[in-house]
Amino acid sequence: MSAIRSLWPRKKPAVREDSHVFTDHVRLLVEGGPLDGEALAPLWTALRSALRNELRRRGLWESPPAYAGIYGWDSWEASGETRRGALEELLFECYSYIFVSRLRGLEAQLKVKPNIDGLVFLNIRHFLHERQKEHDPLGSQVFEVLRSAVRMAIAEGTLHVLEGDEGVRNDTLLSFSPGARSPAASREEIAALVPSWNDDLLPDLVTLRGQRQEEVVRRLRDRLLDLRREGPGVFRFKDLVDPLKADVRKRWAAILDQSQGEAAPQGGGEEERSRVRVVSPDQRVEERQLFRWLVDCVLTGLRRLDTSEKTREYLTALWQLVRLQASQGEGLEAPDARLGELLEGGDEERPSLRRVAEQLRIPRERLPGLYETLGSLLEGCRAASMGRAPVKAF
Amino acid sequence: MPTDDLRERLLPSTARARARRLSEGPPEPGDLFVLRATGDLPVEWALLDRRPQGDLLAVPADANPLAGSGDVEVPATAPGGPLCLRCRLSVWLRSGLFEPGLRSGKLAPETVAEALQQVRHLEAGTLEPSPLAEEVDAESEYRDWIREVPEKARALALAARPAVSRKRGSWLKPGYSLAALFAVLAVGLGLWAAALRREVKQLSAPVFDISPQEVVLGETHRGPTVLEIPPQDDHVLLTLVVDASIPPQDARFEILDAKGRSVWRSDPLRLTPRDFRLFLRRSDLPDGTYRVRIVPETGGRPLSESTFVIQTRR
Repeated sequence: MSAIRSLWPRKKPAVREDSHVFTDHVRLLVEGGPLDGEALAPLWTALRSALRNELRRRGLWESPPAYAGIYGWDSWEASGETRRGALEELLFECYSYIFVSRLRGLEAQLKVKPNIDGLVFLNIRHFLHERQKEHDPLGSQVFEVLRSAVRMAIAEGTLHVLEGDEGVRNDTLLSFSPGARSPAASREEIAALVPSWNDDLLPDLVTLRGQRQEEVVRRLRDRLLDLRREGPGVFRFKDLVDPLKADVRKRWAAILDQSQGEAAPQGGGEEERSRVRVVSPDQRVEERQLFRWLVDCVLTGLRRLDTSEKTREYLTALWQLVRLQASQGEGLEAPDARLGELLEGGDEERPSLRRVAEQLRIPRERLPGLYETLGSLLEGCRAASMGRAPVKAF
Repeated sequence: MPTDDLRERLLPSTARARARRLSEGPPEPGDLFVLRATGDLPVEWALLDRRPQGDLLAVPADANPLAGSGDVEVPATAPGGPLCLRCRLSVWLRSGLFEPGLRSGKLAPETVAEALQQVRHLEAGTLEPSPLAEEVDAESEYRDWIREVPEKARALALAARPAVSRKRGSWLKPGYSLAALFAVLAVGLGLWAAALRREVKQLSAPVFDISPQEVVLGETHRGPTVLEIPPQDDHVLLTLVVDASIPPQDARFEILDAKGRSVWRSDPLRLTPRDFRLFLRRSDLPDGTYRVRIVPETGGRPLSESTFVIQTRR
């Protein structure tokens, strides 16, 4: 089995042995062949189908397209308009990601492989993973922590994979007994149990990152074991992660004063939806790079700050909130500019101090000072960023 | 359908691809290569440095955008990008592994310098990871990727032998038309064996002819080849190299122990001048001396025979 195929879920092979439509297209591009509609038709069909499958695999097909960075649509396929809609927008972005930006790499692999369709499928996976992390940071973080907790329980022998991807994906069927034969618990049954976990897990589930993420993974692993006592012996990972995500979104939406829930994080009515900022993809890449650089710079500054550990914890949690708020949705401001607005823009830009204090478990009276400290750090980082190009130029 | 805009956006890219002229000279720092030995994996190799005797410092590079603390990101706008250089997995490789025809790109000198500095920090233990890179380090998706792709690629590259130019039959004794078996068990294979174990341990039988795409050219051996197996490894990978001097015919491979008992034999196959990779359980190859030979399906003397010794590394 090649490594490319082994990275794909084992349930059904994603790469058909005889599939070569992507390979043919790369050859066409490299050799400068004609790019007419007839030549491209099989490519669009195959790419659309692969994207749809990957969206389903990631549980994004039923979610608002905004979670993958496509704004202004409620669902992926507009009824009756098969060539317009969110999926078509994503298709275009995906094409650019794979066949424009990564053409050199694909061409390189053609030197040692007769067929690179598997690589294109891998790139689709990377493409959606990256977009989901950027545009649905809450959902991605909850998925990551829960997946790590489940894998920890599997490694310890307390949880077992009955069916599906052993690496733990949405389709993985899990049980506390390796020989369990009972049917999987219903979504409703699990949804009734799981949200209460967040009383204890938040805000750490969202704010503890990096090396400290392990702490919240362990706590969530312990809650999984509670599940054994409380009810379902067999359950699907998706049925566990979905209600957990939904509850986190709901609670955080309450802080952020946004009606997110399971709706798109883009505001309410049609008029507001249409006010999506239009920028070129290259500009968006630069903005995202600058945003990441600023987030990293402030986190580094927090590590070096001469203050008590408690204050550092408060500052870090508050910064993660600001980071999430700035990166979610697609308003009229670039995400790096939103960071500044949230910190320096005064009370009217920030969420309610009472709600922030409650959710982050920070004494309310400390919040203004903490915002001010973060604002100073951001200002310093922004000044430092002037000396660097957002995209490396060579 | 995004076709109209697509054409416009593609033109610069395809023109760039056509205009790209890669050097055909010897491999040098800054070059990107694909290797036949890692052809099954979605990686390239970025060359960062050269030793006076010719070995090249290389790191696996791939298009997964997740960049952890040991990695250097090459943005899409930079030469060779977008790529992630996995500097934690740097390795010195023989220059002969890098075939000029498999050169795939060129990095900017600044990128090479940044990656070299990263390698040095990692070696000296002085790396100060950024908080965002540490977040990626903790991601299960990233850990899976590193284990499944660049780590495997590193072990395969370490195990591979450089392509050597051979004169037809020059290293064959008269009447002994071919056979080379060589060790792909080199420093670093332990890593690879460990990574493969999960897949392989479920198999109760040897695995033969895994990937015909990988070609590792062999070299002659004087006396028996000694294969040192790390004590923890439960499988052994052998690469059986068939030389072009053997005419195509139906034959089978056989491995015999010191007493002449058959340890393993392949099904009859059409012998062509290529390599065959064989995974055997370690329990089927206890320490001892073995012979591997190619026997014609029509009977008669073996077409080729070679001896090797398996011993546990101490």
